[in-house]
Amino acid sequence: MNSSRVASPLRTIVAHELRTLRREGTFSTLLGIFSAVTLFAVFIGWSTRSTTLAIYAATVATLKAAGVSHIAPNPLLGVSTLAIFNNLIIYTLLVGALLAIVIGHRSFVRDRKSGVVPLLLSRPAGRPLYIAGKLCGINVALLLVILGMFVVSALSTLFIPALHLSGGEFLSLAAFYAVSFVYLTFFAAIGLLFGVYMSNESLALLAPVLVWIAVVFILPELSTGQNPVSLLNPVTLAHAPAASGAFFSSARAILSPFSFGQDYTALALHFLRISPGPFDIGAILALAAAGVVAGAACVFALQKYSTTADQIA
Amino acid sequence: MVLAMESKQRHGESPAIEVRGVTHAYNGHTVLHDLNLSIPAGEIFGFLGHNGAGKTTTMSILTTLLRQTAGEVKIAGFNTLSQSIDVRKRIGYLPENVTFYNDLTAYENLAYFARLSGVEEVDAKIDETLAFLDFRGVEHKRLKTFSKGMRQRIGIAQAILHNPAVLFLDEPTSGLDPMGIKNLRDIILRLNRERGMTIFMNTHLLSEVGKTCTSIGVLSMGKLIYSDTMERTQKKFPDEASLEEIYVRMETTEVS
Repeated sequence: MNSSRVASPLRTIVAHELRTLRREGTFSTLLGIFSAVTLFAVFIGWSTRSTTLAIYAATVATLKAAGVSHIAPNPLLGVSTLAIFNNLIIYTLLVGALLAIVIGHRSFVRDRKSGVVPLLLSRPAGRPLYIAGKLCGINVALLLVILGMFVVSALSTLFIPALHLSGGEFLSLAAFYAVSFVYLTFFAAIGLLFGVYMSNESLALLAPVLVWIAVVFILPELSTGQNPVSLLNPVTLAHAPAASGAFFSSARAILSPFSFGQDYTALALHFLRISPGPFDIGAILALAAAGVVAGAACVFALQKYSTTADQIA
Repeated sequence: MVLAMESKQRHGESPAIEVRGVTHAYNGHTVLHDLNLSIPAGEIFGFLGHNGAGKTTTMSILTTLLRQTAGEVKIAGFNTLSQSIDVRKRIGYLPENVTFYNDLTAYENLAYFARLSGVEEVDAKIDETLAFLDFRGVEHKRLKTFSKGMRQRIGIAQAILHNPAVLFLDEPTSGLDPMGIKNLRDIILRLNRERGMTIFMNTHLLSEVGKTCTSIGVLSMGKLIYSDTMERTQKKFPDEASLEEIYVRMETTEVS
């Protein structure tokens, strides 16, 4: 450590955020949960695939023995190998988003509970830099977790018999994790936002969960007419068409830009080559823009934040 | 005020803290009314008042955490609104009931605040500050193992690491045992004597004010009802046996 130079405040806050997450065990817990979830998803994907293949092989043998000459082709022939990671979409959509909310929420609530917010805000760095440092720190932690998931995914394919990913498939897998990262940053930012904005700790955690329910379930349901369980299934609207009618058409036009859960699912399906189609740049831009807007809202919320009200309370 | 004029002559420099016509309203309720205060450099100023009198609001305005509705505040000659960064470089602050980061060591806590204050030689500065506070040997222990008194020393340490001109302490003796209070009093006196720091202290503990402060101000219902040196205060109230009695008299009958 070189302590003779003046460290940049942003770097100081980022390093502090990461150190705190590591010390309180949050980082290792997250890495453990996500690694386990990744392994679990890969195992289920592999198990489903190998069971289907085994049933197909047994059926083919039975049909051939019975003298049937026209046998349907292997149903998995056109299915991407990356489809074994299918379940990760749901896990990221649900567990990932909630854990990102908790990290964002904890980041400010930790400072508030330990009474250091007035100390930090009376430093020369200022409020926008404090929030920027927190967001960067949280996002670096999430990025490390996502990288960990990518490594676990890549390593797990080495141990699965007859499952080899090509260079292109590895790139697609990396792109899937990149989209997952962008999706999680939005929820980390709103976790932080409500942590700053609401002094009641429970409500500050409940509010971003309600936003999550809205963007994953309510808004897509209003614009497609699909029930929540259908929305969780990683299938595109091409396979599960949205409801028709004037109401749903209008609702879709207004609400679809905010249906981040649906955007994430569509992109994830694209990169895992489960539903190959044209790359929707608008969806990833919407996800990234949502994260940036949430970050900017955090700065605004902190400008309004009163340390005095907190101290008197 | 008399206090300002006397001390200004004594130190021959501009006030460390200057408050002119500060009013602050919150949710339509005025919590500070036309506050005027001038504290010369080198003073230990005790700011007294009952709960809800506006002491913490005043300190928040002085430390740039809160923008006053009206009026002007200067710290070490810098305006708290237009020159807030310059003010922040020159102040140290210890709020009430800070527990810091329990999972980090004392060194990690102090290094964080030192870097945010722009301290250059962080290791050397932490070592020097802990030596000044007679608190070496605990640097690598996590704060979760610290007592209230130990945490308060860490609080003082983070507030003085960057050698500020003005130190703000909000109820620094709150929750300390008698030995902790005595140690803190000694530290405050040494900071003032050896480093020339101006100290602004919100407190309830009147016995400590008598032993530590060189001047006092009394805030009641958001109004400054009294401000003068300790010496003159004691002369003004010859019939009162203690500062506590003086304070009670001030609170019950406004003194000019």
